[in-house]
Amino acid sequence: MGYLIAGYVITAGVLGGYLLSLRMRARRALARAGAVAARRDARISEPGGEANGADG
Amino acid sequence: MSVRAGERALGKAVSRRGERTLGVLSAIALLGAMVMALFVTPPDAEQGQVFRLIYVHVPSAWLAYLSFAVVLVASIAYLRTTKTRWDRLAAASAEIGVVFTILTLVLGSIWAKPVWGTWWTWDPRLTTTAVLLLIYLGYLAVRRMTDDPRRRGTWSAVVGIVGFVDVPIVHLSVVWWRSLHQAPVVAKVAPRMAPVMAWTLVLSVVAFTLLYAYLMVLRLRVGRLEEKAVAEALSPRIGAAAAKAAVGG
Repeated sequence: MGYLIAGYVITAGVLGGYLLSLRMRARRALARAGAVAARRDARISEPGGEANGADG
Repeated sequence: MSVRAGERALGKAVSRRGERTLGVLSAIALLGAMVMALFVTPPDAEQGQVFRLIYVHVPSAWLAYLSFAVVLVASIAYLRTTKTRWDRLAAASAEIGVVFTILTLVLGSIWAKPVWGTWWTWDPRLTTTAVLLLIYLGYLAVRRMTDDPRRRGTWSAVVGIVGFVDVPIVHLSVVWWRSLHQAPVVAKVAPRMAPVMAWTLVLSVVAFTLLYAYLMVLRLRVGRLEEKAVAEALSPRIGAAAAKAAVGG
């Protein structure tokens, strides 16, 4: 019986853990893309920024 | 199915609505399969309760095969078209395949201990499955060897195509060589099982396949978002194009 329980607990742990890791990766990638875009937009809008042709 | 039709089907499957539907369906199917496996089916006459591991071990092995078959098809499609979405599909399926191969090996080991008296033996089925795991870990490692997307796609597609050779070897190892492992379940064992056990096995395979589809959709979205983040960092113009591509699938 112990082997059976171990097998099902490990299955739930591995698949649940992988699912959670995918969700966390999606959230991290979204946050990173947002942060980079926000930094870029701030750089463009500031005086002398890229939009004004200061550094091309 | 033509490559173009496959791409269209992939684009539709990746929509958020499809993702949610798949998630709910796979959760319901998994719950039903687990109730059947643990509370409805009788224990095996010879192996007793531990035989119930078949309802997670066999679907895991099936999904490892399916994942690597998808890697094979997507790799061929990538080499033919050089479209990134095929490379992304192959990478996603390989990663999920590795998870299911690890699960297959761990569950097999847990089952082997009470039945064979050992956690591990260099049996043909076990050894070829361990080699399969190493091949696809190698596939994932190859993907990290270069930052050039074209080179990464080509190298990994070649590994994905050549690596699939081990899948039929794993499946037929119990036929070709003397093995402790039982014969292929669907062909040899299922017809002799009690109907409730056979149907529970079928339900478990369907439930795990739905879970695979859900994990694929989720993993593909992660791949697109990670590419978008990199593209945003590299260039505003590339980032905008990647964002547009991510929305369009």
